[in-house]
Amino acid sequence: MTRQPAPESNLVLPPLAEGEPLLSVRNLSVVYHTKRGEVKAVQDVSFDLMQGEVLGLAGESGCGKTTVANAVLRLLRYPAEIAGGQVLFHGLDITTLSEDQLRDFRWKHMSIVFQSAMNALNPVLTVGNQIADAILAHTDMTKEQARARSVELLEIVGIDPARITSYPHQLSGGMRQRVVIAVAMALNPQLIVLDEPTTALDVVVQKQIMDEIRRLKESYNFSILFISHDLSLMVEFSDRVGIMYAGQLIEMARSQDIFRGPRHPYTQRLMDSFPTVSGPRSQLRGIPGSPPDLVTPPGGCRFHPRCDVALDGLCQQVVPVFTEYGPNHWAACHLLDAKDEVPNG
Amino acid sequence: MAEQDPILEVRGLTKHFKSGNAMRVNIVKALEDVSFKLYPGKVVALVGESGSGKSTTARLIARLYDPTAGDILYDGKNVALAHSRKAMLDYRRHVQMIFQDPFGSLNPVHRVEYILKRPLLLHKKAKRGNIQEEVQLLLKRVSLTPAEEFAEKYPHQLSGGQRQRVAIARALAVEPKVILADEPVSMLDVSIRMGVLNLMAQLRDENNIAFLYVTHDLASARYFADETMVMYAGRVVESGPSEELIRSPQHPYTQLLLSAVPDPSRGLRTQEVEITGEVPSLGAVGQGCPFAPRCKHVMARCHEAMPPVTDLGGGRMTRCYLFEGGATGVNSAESAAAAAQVRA
Repeated sequence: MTRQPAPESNLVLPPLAEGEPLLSVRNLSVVYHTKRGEVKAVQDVSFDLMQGEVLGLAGESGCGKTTVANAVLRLLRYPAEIAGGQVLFHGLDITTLSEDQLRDFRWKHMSIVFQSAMNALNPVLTVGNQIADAILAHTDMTKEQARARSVELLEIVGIDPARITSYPHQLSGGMRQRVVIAVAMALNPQLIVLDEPTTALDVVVQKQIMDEIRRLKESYNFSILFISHDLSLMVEFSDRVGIMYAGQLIEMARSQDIFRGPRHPYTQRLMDSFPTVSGPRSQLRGIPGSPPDLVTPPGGCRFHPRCDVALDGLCQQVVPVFTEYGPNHWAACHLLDAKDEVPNG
Repeated sequence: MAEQDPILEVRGLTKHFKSGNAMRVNIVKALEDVSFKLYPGKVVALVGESGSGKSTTARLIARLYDPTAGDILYDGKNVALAHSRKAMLDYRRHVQMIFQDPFGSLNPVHRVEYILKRPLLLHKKAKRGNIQEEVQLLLKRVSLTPAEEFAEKYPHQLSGGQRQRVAIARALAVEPKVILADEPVSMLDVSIRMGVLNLMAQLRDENNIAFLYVTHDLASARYFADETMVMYAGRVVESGPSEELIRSPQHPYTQLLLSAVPDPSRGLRTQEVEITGEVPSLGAVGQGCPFAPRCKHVMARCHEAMPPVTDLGGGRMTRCYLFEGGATGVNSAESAAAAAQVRA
């Protein structure tokens, strides 16, 4: 396989100012063009991710969390399209980069760990070749240098470097996920997006992988955008958590605040939807109904058809504004304007 | 519970799969010596990681495979090797299964009505004349209303949770005494799961159905199941009332499994349990305890033979030499000390 040498870097990132977020997503909207019409998969989503932070995005299938992750790396392809907004990294708008600039930007500054390790690796290439490929595609290292770096990376993620000649099927699920993490870390990016990194793994292996990622984050000082549907894992692993519903960010706060004092009715019901292994064993209810069809999302607050505390004549018509209701605690709900606290129950 | 007779009992259930070719046969010991009882109106959970044998157990009881050894007693009658059409039809009228993947378990070319009609006709539970009524009744029992509308739909027009409700309705069609539920909610979204679990709990209570609930999720076992059995590499290593088992796990593997479950209410980042090794390949499991290579309390004899079942009292059992002799046995002081050490 011959590869074009990576183009000379023409991408200069401005240095981060004091208190400036590493990643700033501003009013991001993404649509999918389908035969049935435009699917408004992500609508007006804004958040900041600070350097060294682990920011989680949680929500159910179809809420747009993975679409946000892909938009941040500019990985969306037709029929998906960024319909509006900005993705600022070091203040540089990623949505305006050319393909050449993107190749120079991706992996060097930001990389991604995809959902299923089984599918993320090419079954006919050795793991060594796959790590080296990522390096060769984005740098001007020689093959020998890339191989040496691959060995080093395997050691970093806790795999015997002798495994460099193994094929993915010869590794367990947990080891494959470690390889995928090694690929993501190949060029020491400042931000790694983890898209459901442990979903296909058993809980014990999940624990090992998440502990490993935490250890690596401390040693190599990268920031993390963590996408998951597993709220327990998210709250345990992230510094701050954003909750998405039907393409919108509806609440964002520090993990412990989301866990102990969720403000949005959807977050509250979601927190009441999964059993835990400690604490009281109470009757749980789930949320009646299903998430809406995003070709024709409900007007007003998108959660109102499933919300048991929706206000007549308001929630159906008026889109609630994402507002800060407590220190670092943001939510979009009319009830929070009406009174201080949403009744939980 | 002891006064009532079990509706279904398995004794020494064992399944070995053969793999490889004629030259080199490889025996995969998927399940070894599993015994338990199901009672009407009670839920037993089988909890374990992939490859622990939990689904194999459910499938053996559903008679999708023949067991290598062991008995399956339904209402006192051994059906482990029954094959005749009549015997199978009879058994399946009482024992039904719900599968993990509601996208794969419903035939996509048929409407819901047809899917629910089939078991009714096959098992002669309804006459052709009033079959539509029966179908709508079933849909109402699983809260798919308006039933007339849902009967007309194809599986692809339903959400995952609705599909799983159709699968439950199909199982209910024959008025079963036992339902084997193999990870029935693990493919559903968090907000939908509780609805389906609560529906099953309601059926358990209203119709006195015995459930075998196969899951990888200890928290949902605690929520739904009266009794929980923890499996590792084809063996049951610990069992007992769910709440007590999760509050004070005894077997080192149960402790490992529990410590790996993310749980924000336990406090953040305090739970640092050292995890070493991986689940063994089932072809390579030797004579001893399968967990021995990863166990920090391992002793020489753990490698020699599988520990016997130790009764810990209160309906709790474990298979671990740390507890040999039980609470009243000769080694009670020693094993109690070891157990205390394990808990510490």
